[in-house]
Amino acid sequence: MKEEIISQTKKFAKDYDIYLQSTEVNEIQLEKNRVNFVSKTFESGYGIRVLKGGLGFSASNVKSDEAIKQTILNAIKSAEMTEKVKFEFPRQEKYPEVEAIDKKIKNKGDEAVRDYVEQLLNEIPKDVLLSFGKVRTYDNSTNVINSEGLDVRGEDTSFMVELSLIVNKNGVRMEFWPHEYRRRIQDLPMSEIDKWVRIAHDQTIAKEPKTEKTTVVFSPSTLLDGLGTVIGSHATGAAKVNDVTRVSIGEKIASEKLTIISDGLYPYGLMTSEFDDEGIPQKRIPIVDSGVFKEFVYDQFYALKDNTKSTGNGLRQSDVFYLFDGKYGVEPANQLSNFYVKPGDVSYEDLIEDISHSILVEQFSWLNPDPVTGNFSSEIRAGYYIKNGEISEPIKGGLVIGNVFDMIKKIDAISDKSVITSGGNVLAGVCPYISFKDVQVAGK
Amino acid sequence: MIQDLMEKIVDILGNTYYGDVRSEKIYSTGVGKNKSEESISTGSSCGLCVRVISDNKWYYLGFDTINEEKILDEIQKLVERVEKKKSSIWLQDPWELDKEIFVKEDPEKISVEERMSTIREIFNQTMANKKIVNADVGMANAKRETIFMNTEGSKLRQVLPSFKFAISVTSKEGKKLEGDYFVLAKQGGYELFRQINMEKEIDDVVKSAIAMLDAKQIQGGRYDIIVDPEISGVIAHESFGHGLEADQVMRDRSYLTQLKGKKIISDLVSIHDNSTLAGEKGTFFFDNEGIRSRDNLLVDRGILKQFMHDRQSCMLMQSEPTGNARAQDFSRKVFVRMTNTYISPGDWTLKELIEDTKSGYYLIKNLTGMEDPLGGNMQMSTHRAMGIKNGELTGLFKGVGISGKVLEFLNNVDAVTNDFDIRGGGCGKGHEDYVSVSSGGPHMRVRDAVIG
Repeated sequence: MKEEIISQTKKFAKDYDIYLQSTEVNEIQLEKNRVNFVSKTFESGYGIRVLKGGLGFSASNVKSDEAIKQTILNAIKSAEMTEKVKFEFPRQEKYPEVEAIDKKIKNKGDEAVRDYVEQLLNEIPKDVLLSFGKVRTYDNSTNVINSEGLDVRGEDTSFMVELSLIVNKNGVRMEFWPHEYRRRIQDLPMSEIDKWVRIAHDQTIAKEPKTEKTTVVFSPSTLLDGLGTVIGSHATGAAKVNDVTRVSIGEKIASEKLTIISDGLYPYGLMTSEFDDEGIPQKRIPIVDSGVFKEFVYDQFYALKDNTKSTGNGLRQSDVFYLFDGKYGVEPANQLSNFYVKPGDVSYEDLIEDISHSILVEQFSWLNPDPVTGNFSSEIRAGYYIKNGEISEPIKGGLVIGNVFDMIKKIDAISDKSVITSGGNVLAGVCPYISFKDVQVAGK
Repeated sequence: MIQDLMEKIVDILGNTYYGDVRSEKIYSTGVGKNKSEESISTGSSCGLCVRVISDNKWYYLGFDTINEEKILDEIQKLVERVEKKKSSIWLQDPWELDKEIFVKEDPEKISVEERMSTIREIFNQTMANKKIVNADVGMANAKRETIFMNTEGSKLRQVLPSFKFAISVTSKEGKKLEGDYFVLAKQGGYELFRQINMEKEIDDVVKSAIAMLDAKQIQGGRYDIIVDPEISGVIAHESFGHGLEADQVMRDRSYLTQLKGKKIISDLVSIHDNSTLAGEKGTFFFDNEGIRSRDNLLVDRGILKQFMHDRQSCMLMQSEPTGNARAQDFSRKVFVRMTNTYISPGDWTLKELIEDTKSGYYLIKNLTGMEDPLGGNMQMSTHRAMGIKNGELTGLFKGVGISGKVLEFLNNVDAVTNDFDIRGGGCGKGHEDYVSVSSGGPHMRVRDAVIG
C-alpha cells in the first residue's frame, strides 16, 4: 500500500506528507466474572496533507487505486481552496531513542490479553463482583513520509483496562470504576487491583462531605485531568497565536513548588515516541519552572506562524475519546505530549501526616474543567477525609468547585513520586499527589 | 459487490447458533475556520464486522481491507473453533429493507469554494466585536451506509446523512477569558444550514460570551432551579437513561434494576427513547443487530415502564427487543445504547414558570455530563445561570455543576413547560464507544437541587 500511495501522491502533488498507520487490536470483555466477548481487529489507513497555497487534508482506509487517487485529489483541492499559508514540511533529523513497546504485546496481543484476564479473574476476591471488564491491547506501526525526503517509521504498543468492581456490604452496593491506559502491561500491576478493591469496599460506608472551604488532595489521575486540561490548552503556540491564552513567558502563574514539562520522551509514557505525527523529534519542553511560565509548545504550522521552530508537538490525539488506532483520520494538532509534573520533596505518607483536616479525592465522576476559563465543578466519586494526619472516613458525592489558575497558586505540598497515569479527559500524564489550600467543597 | 462477499460469509456462519455480518461505508467532509487556520478535510472509510455467538459468548472479527480470501479463511477458522453451541438470544423471522434518507439539498453538490466562502463570511461577522479574540466556525456533513445480513436470512441496507454546523467564540478582557457556542447537529443536508437564523445566532453567542466576562460565581448549595431543554435532555440521557440500558442490569450494575412498574419520579415526567424521530441524530431504520427501530416509552408519568435491550438482554429479561443495539463502528463491540432520548413537554409556559419562582437560578446550556449506572448520581456541568428573585430574572452567573441523586432530583420536578427542543451530539459508554444521539425536552423546575 505504501509504494502505491507514494507514487500516486508524487504524480499529483509537489509538497505533501503521508501518515500511514496499521494496528492490530485484541480484546476480551467480561461480564459478572465471565468472559463474554473475544475480538481481533486489523485496521490500517492513510492521511495525506498537501501544500498548494493552503494546506489540505484527506484520509481513508480504502486501499483501491481509485480510492487512493481520490483521497489525494481531495487533499489537493482542499489545499487550493483554503487561504495561503506560510508552511513547509519538515526535513529528516536525528531522532532520540525512546521506550514505547511492551514485548509481551508486540505480535502476540491475543496471548497478552488472555494471560492478563486469567490473572485478573484469579486476583479479584470472591466477595467482589467484576460487573464488567474490558482488557485491550494495541500493536501499532506508523510511518511518516514527506516531499522533503523525510521517511520515519515507529512502533508502539498500548494497553487498556476498564473495570467495574462492585462490593456489597450490609445491603449497600458500591462500585469503583477505573479506566486506565498504559504502554506496558507491567505498569498496571495486580497491586493496583488490590487498591481499587479497597476503595470499592470503603465506598460502602462513604458519606457525603460537608460544605466547607478546605485543603483538597488530588490523586495523580485527577491532577492530570484538572491541570492537564487547562494548562494544556493555554501552553500551546496555537493558543498564543490566537490570543486565547492567559499566560505569557516569564510570568509567575503558580506556586514555586510547581514544575511542569511536556515530556515526549518519558519511558513508556502514553504519548512517548521518537517523532511527533509530522515526523519531528519529540522533546522535553519545560512549561512551568518553579511556578514561572517558560515555553509554549509548537507544531510545525504554529511554529512557522510565530517565527519559531516546532518543538515536536504536532500530535494526533483527541481528548475524552482517545485515539490509538485510526489516528490517520485526523490532522496533527498543536498539543502537549506527556503531562509531566515534577515530584515534590515529601513522601505521600508525610504529605498526609502533615494535614490536620482535608479531603483526598481518588476519583471524580468526571473532572472536566472549562479549558478556557479553568473553572470546574465536579462530583466526588471516591474520596476520603484526612483527619489529624491520617486517612479517615470515606466520602462520596458533593462537589469540588474551583478554578485551576487560582488553585495552582495555593499548592500546599507535592508528593515525591510522579507515576504514569491516564485521565478521563487527558490521556497521558506522569503526576504526583498534590494538596491545594482553600478549595470550595459543596455537600451537606 | 460487498453483498456477494457478505452472502458467502453468512453461508459459513450458517454452521453457528447465530451469526451476522455488517458492512459500513462512511464519507465525510468538513469545512472550518478560526483566526489562524482554514481547513477543508475529507474522509472515507469502510469496514466489515463479523459476529458469532456460541455458549453465550460473542466472537468478533473486524476487517478494514476487503481481501475476500483472507476474510473467508479467518471466518472459517473462527466458526470451526467456537462450534455451534446454544445461546440465550432473541431470534426472529427474517426481514428485508433497503432505505436511504434523501436530503433536500446535498451539501456535496454545493462547491467547497462556496461553503468556504460562507464560513469566512460568518467568521468575519463573529469577530466584528473587539472583545471576541477568536472564533471557530465550521460545518460538516457525512453519509453512512450500513448493510446487514444474518443467519436468520435478514438482508438490510440503510443510508443515513448527517449535518453539523457550529460556532464557538472566545471573549477576552485583560486576563479574563470566557466563551459560548452554538451547535446544530441533525440528520439531513444543507437545507438545515439555510434554516438557521444566522444573524440572531451570531449575535446571541457574541453577546453572551462578552456578558460572561462579568458573570458572578454562585455560592454552592441547595436551591430551586429551572433547567433549559438542553439540560433536561442531558439529565434524561446521561444521569437517568444509562441506568436503563439492560446490559447494565445484566451486569448487576443499575440502580433501576428492581424498579420496573414502580413510580420512581414525579408524575409530571415522561421519558422516551425514540429511534424513529425524523431528522434527529439518533435515528435509524434498524440497529446493529438487525432489529427494527421504534419509539420506546421508558417512563410514563413517573412510572418506570421498560428497559432498553439488545438481542441477549431481552431474552434474559423476558422482554421484547427495543432496537437499541449499537456500535461505534465495525471495529467495536455492539452494546445497548440510547438513540433520541427526551422528556415530554408539560403545560406551563416558561414565563409562568419564572413568575411562579420566588428565589433560585435558571440554568442554561449543558457543557458535560457523565453517567453513574450503579449509583444513580448526577455529574453535569452547565454553561451559565441567571438568578431568579420574586419571579424575575436577575443577574448573570457562571456555569455550575449539578450533583445529587437523579431519582430524588426528578422526583422534585414540580413544573414542566409546554416548549420542547432537542439537540444532536455524541455519547460514550463511559469514555469509549462514541455513537450519534440526541437529547432534549422542555424546561423543568426542580426544587431543592444541589448545585455549585
